Amino acid sequence: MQVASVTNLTVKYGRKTAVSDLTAVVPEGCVGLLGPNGAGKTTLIKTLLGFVIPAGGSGEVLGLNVATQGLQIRQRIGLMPEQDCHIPGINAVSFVSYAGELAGMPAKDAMRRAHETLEYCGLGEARYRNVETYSTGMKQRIKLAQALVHGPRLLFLDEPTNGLDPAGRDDMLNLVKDVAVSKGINVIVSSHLLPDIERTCTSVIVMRSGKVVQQGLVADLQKTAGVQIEVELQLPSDAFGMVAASRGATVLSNMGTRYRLDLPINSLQTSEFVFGIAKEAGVQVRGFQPALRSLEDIFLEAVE
Amino acid sequence: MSTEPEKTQPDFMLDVPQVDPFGHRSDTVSAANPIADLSYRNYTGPLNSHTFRWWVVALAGIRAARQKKGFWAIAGVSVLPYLFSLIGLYLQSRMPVNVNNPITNNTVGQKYASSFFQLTDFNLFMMFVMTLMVGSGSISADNRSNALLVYLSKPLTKVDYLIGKWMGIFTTLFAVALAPALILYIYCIMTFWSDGIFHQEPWLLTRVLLACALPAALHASLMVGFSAWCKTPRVAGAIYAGFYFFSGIVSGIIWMIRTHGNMSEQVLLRHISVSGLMRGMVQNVYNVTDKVTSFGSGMPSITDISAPSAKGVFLISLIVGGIGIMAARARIRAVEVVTG
Repeated sequence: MQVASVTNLTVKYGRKTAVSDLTAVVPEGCVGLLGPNGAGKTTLIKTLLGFVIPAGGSGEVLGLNVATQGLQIRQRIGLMPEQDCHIPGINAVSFVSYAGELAGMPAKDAMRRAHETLEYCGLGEARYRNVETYSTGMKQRIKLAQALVHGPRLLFLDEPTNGLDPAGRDDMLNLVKDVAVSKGINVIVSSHLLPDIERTCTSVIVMRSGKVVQQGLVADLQKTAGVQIEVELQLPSDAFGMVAASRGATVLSNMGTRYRLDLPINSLQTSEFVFGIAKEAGVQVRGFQPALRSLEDIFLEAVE
Repeated sequence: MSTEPEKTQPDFMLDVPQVDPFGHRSDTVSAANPIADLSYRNYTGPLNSHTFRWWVVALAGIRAARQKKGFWAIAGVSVLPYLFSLIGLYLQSRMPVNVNNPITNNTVGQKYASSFFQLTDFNLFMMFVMTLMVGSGSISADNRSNALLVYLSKPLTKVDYLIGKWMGIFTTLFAVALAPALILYIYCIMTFWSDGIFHQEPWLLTRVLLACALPAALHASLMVGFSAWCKTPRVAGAIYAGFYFFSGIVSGIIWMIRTHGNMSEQVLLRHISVSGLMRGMVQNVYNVTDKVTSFGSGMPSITDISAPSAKGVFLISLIVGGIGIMAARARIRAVEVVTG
């Protein structure tokens, strides 16, 4: 099931083409949108929100046409923009309640929901303070709250951990994950921080120069070709690497007690092969597991 | 003595959901219930129609204006001329009938309209100050805090946003101008009913409404334009104030050069400024002649100045107001689009 899709999408700003002939499918769940600066991520989001009319091609969000049904789309989605944004001169409850009313909620419902949403986003009693006095972390939370207040089915988060300290970042990522998993809201996260995407998203779309260069489930993309494993030894040992190489394995990396090996065998013989090397090298194996590519590897491979 | 609470219903009914006089079922989870689950859940409640979504924006503007102390101060000052006039009318009504009041225009159809025109004319400056206070930040403050992203990421078009902002300014200005005028009107009707006020000037209420609404509409249209193109309320206010006074000075100089100060010549030209257009519209609405004191031969003399051409004044006001709104419309967008 898909929540959004674009087919042969072309977006132009005047004479400049920002996105050309882009085709992508956004599946349900939490999806990461990756790409270097100028890849077209923000343009794609703007187009999906109905802010920008495509010069060519078509797009759909929750079954609605992006070119003609922008208003209906924005009724069903929530946007947490990258930059600071708030209504000046009011406190957080009034701000979020106002955002709810703008989405069509009756004033009473909007106020009740504002309290619920701000509580959920962890603003607690700070919700009665003027937004202009908030720290960066609190501003990020209130942006999420205003995007959630009207109960969207799809949430766009643009750099949700921008400017947050490690603890704040951790809280925000937990919140994003909870929104996607426990609350059943589809989420599209655009971020430059690959660990954030790796932690929260089940799928990714990697873009470069206005094109999709890699797309799929994170788990699938992280799978390596052949049989690659990561072995952790009790103590660092040069002998382990030499024995492994003599038996036909390739040592891909070695960091202290950790080895990444590419084995010349099928996966069923892995344990026998690893323990054989360890026995010959005289080292103790603490553990081993199939090696996975990091999102950074996938990203660099896709954009280079 | 037993401490067991008294049963209010038989045992067989305890599991049956009860409905209170307000129609709430006892088994329904609600925020009013102390053990209700108040954690976040998806919203499935009702949604208002999109047609009047702009009113939410307008209401927020009115609310923001009301919270300013300056608003109440200016509103209070705007009431004063009407209050003095009301006292004056009261005293006049106590005088013998044959005492002639030199200030009052006793021409049939202009007696009360003339008073209302003078009061509205005096209050036009207060309306300008009020516009600076409530209108300068209407869009510029949103520009500064990137609030447009919040507005336009909701199911709201930029026309809804613009109408809301315009209405927020207009309604505030209109209400502040109308409230004292309406009180005076009611007083006049009650006091001078026997004098035939309603028969002499049957359209006075309509004129009062229009005389308050038209300047407010022009102020609101221009202010949204200036505010949309500025990043801070102060700058927007300063530029609008500059435009307001500069246009008055320029039109005055041009008129002076062309007519050598003859008040009854080129009346329309003298009104081609923000304040002049408003004055011209109000004068046309009340359909009164203006009394201007001049010192042509050293001695002061009162000259009757007719209203400027209604067509000209309304057409120019429409164009100027339209330019303000179009300028705002061109500037309001959810995303910065770099072309070229």
